[in-house]
Amino acid sequence: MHFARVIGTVVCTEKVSAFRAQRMLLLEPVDSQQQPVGRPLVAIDLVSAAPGQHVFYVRGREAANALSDPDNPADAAIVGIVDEVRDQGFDDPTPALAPRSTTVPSSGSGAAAPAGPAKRSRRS
Amino acid sequence: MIVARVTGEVVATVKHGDLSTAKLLLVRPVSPKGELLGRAVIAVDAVDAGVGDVVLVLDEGNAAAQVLNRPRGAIRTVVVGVIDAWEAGEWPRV
Repeated sequence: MHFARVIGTVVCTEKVSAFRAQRMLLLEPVDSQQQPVGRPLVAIDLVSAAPGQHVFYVRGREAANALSDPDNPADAAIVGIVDEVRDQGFDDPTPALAPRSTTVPSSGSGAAAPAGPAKRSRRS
Repeated sequence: MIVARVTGEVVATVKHGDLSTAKLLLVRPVSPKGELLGRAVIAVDAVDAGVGDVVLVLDEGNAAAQVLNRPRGAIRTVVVGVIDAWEAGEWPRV
């Protein structure tokens, strides 16, 4: 699933019968910080989203499956409205991700320490 | 499947019924060197992964349905493993 911002609505009177009574919105794909990425697309709205809202959508066959009757040609569907994104970023190169041969044994950062028990205790 | 890092969590009250009980994680692909690559996507957690974990992420609907043990629905991106360790050769290759 990907983030997007609703930038408009699309109205089609003449459309394939499977899309009857479906709302279509124009989306601009964005990243988790709401910065635009990529080109706008049209998606079926399943969550009553409004222009300006930060939403997430699913692409491909799963978009069609998301509709009540999965026998339809949708290729993108809005499946949620974002309330909050808690993104820690981790923009730094992460030593814990380096191949095992070069991993420094638990040097304090602990952000992604490989040990299982440590992983569990990090969350509360 | 791709190797990614869980960089955060996503909270959404209004969402599709197939996602009603799902924990949504923000995951970003990582390179064999451990650098974050590309943009973050939202994945459904199937293994109780947490922020900071390096994980295995699946992006295919049929496999996702199988992992979550339910009929095919709106979910296609699922965290299916927490990576403890991995080894990689030279990348990119010259």
